[in-house]
Amino acid sequence: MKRLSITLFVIFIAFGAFSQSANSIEEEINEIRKKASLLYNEGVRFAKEAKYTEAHKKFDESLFLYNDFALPYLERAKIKIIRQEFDLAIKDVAKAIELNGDLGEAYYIRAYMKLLMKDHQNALTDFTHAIQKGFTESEAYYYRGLMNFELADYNSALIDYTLAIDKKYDFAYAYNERASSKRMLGDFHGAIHDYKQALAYDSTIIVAYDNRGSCKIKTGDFQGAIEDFTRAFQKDPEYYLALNNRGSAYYQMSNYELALKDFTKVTEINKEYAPAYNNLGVTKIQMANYLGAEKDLDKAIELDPEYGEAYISRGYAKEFLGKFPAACEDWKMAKELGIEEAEKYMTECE
Amino acid sequence: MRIIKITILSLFILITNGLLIKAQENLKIKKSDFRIEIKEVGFKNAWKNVKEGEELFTAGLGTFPEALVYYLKATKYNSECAKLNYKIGVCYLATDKFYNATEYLEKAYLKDNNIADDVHLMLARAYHLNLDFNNAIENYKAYYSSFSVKELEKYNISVDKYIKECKYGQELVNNPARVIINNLGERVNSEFDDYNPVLHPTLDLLYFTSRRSIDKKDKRLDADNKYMENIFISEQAGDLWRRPKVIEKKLDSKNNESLLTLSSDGSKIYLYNGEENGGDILVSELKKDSWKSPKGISGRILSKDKETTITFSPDGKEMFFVSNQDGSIGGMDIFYSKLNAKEKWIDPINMGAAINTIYDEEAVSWHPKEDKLYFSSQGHNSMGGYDVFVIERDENGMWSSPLNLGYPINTPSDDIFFKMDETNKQAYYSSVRDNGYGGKDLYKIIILGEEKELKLKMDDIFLAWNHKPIDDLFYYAPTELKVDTALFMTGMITDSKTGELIILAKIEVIDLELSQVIATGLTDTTGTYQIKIPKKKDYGVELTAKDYLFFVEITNLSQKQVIESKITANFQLDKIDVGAKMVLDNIFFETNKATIKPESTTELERLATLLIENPTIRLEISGHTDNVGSYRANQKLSESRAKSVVDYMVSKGVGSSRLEYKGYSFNQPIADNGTAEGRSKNRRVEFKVLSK
Repeated sequence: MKRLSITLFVIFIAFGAFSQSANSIEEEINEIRKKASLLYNEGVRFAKEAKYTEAHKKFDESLFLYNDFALPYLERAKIKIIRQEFDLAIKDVAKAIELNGDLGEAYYIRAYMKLLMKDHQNALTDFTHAIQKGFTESEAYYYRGLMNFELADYNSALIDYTLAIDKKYDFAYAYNERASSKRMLGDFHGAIHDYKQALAYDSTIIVAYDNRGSCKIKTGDFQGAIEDFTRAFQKDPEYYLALNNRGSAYYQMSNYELALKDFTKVTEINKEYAPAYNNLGVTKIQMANYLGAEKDLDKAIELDPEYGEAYISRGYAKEFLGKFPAACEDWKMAKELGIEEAEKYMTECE
Repeated sequence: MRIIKITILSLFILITNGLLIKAQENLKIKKSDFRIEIKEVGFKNAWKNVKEGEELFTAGLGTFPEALVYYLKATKYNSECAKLNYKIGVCYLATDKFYNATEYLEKAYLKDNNIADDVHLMLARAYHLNLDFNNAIENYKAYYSSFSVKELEKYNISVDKYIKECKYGQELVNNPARVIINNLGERVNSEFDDYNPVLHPTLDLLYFTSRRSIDKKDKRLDADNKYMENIFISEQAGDLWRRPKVIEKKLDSKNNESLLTLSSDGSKIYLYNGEENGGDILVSELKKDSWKSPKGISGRILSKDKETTITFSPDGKEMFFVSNQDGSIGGMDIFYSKLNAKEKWIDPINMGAAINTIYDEEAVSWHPKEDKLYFSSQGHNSMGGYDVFVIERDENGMWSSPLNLGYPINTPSDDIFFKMDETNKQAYYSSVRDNGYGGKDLYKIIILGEEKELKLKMDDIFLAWNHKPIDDLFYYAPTELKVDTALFMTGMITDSKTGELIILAKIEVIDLELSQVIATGLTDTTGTYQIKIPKKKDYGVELTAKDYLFFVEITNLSQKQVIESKITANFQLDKIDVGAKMVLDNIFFETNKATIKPESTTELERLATLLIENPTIRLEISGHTDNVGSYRANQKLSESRAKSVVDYMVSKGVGSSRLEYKGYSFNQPIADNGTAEGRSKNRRVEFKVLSK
């Protein structure tokens, strides 16, 4: 296969190294472009059939012929993402944007990769570019919503999810994420409605049950919350967060026995999950088992030495056990870790 | 001995009432009361138990606990005998298991309302001791009202003190102190009375008095059927105390010894000897690791009357003691003395009526470092028996009024011998509580500070995407190269007055030929929308946004320029403000009638939606005509048409109170009535926002 780069052609033209006329050069270029386009189209067909190796090869060949061709870079980048060759993918997508700044999808792909790398701010910028360049698919709004959420701009996230849902009415994930934005904005009833919608369109989104349960707690519907947490845990017995949350619901209903049972089960599923040990400790304090509470809170702090709330609670347990200097040490530590309430407890130590 | 009396004092007062004794004498359980006719099996043994119980009951308070054992055995044969239940209840009141009394007394009362003259008093005591103050007050009153005026005077009966205690109790229980009260455990406490804990200054030795048996030869005192007092010492072992030992022999006599206090350096021990001089305080000094024989304390403290507990200021120059010597206001009082320039104790001074009451004060204890005195009293606002109080001396040397340390430190039983530690964080005392090992027990009080906020940790995966990445949403099938003919309609939607961007405004593009919506979109955070349209031509556009009036218009896209596949069309919306007007262009009526044509439905639905989504706004719907015909006829027609619109809205669930209708005839033209086009515009229905 004959390989000619456009750049090289321009140089040749400029220096008149060949005696060919400008028209014939133009024809030659068009011919090469045409061949590159055909190869690109072949690649696209392979990609559609999920034959990524063949597709990749065709995009390579297309670029071998015509390396200022943005689209094969973009498509090749997608295949590299599927292969999880992110470093190579990001180079390809950057090249595609360099060659064609109006390629909305290229911005979208780059944004997605930045999202995977948790570079939320730059991902947000690229998703916005993608939308401005006409890539207005529901997912573009959805992912931009994710970035706004991660950057704690819940109002903008809510708008993006609404736009995503407007584009795709059954976008279950967008409902779940919009619900979470509403929740962060204090609209618990609105959030409950959206979680319900998310589950109506996709009942496998377990976190939606869990999240809805948490919102129900905020509205005082403990029984409803317990039902949701139970469903989440039944659907995924490894999803211990739902169990932890159910324990919290029981705790708030003063049903300490059942709370204790749930928190204990969480520690059996994940021995490294410090909050469950904190919750066990707090529950045992309510049950006047201060020695047991102290042990659990020791464990929570061992797993997460910067767990400020656990220091407050352990200090409390120690106070109940009459270990005042040790209690004060814990509150002091909590204060150092930025727990504001600790300050007033310190006055008892003076 | 004084301290022995303290342990039984509250019931002693109650039982010495003349009527009460009479009542109990009359309550002998007869065979006929107890025997069940059809149940012969077991009667013989049961009756034997009743008789044993009766004998012990008659012997007096000290043997009530033993009587109780027999009575309880007898209930296995007959648990329904009213007299038996009454006596079990009364016996329980004399034990540390007083909380069981209620059940039996209630049963006795239910079976026979007149079971005993004092049944209301006994019930009141049981309720009182169990913190059931309302029932206690009711029964105290019932007991009181069961006597004639003469009897009340004759027997000097009063329940006022008890009723007051109940009322104080209600207040104290409703505002509990933040403390934890831990029993010192079975290693220290016994099934007998254990009281007056005194910590050695080194804090690793605990002295206390106990009425437990030391060996099998021990005999019980006739007065209360309990063993003699002895002093015990327990050593600390980590968080626990070791099993106590009797104090060394020099301090241990064949008689009662009870501990009072230790000096702040631990070199002196103060004891109580009830057999000397009406009851005196003795002191022993520690010399070469051994206690010397105790002697009466020096100075003019001791009298021919009782001197019981004593305590010293941290510097040892002042003291308080308890006595009923001359100058006492009533019962045992607190007296004060201090060392004069010659290092002699001055004559005792009664602390006065602000601190001493006509009832007994006992168990004084000076704070190890501060000017605070703890003592127990049956007076002031005690909730029953002895309660612990504190007084504090200010910079002018004045002592404050006694402050009840509150529930749960204090209970309707005796709470006494309170000793605060120097940090104010923990204290020891003796009390009768339902988690005890028998009689009075020693308890450690942990004094908690402010309530701490305990935080549970709840975690959620807010974003479902984080739980299960939706990869399938990512990969878009690429498109083969071809000329893209797609057109976009784009633009901004702003507030007509302020120019502010309107977010999440909804735009619907209507194909006028097909009469159907072909594309919808929402504005983003920049107030911009972008919608794909099939081709460049004029479309109908409907805009809606929260807090804005809806907007319907035919665009002139066909006249606009396409730049980079995009046609720009910007729109403005009017906010829903009072006075805002809008012509409802697409409401059509039959000629000269108020009948709405079916093609008006879309416009009417828009208006209904506006009213439903903005439930507080009120509108005036007005009808207008051209100037063809008489004013009167046009007025009637315009009003009827406005009313038809209102009726439609009401049929859609809009409250009629939110709508007014008016016909303006041709008084408010908006176009020239001289042309057909102008007249057409003047024939209209519009609305005005009256309030929002």
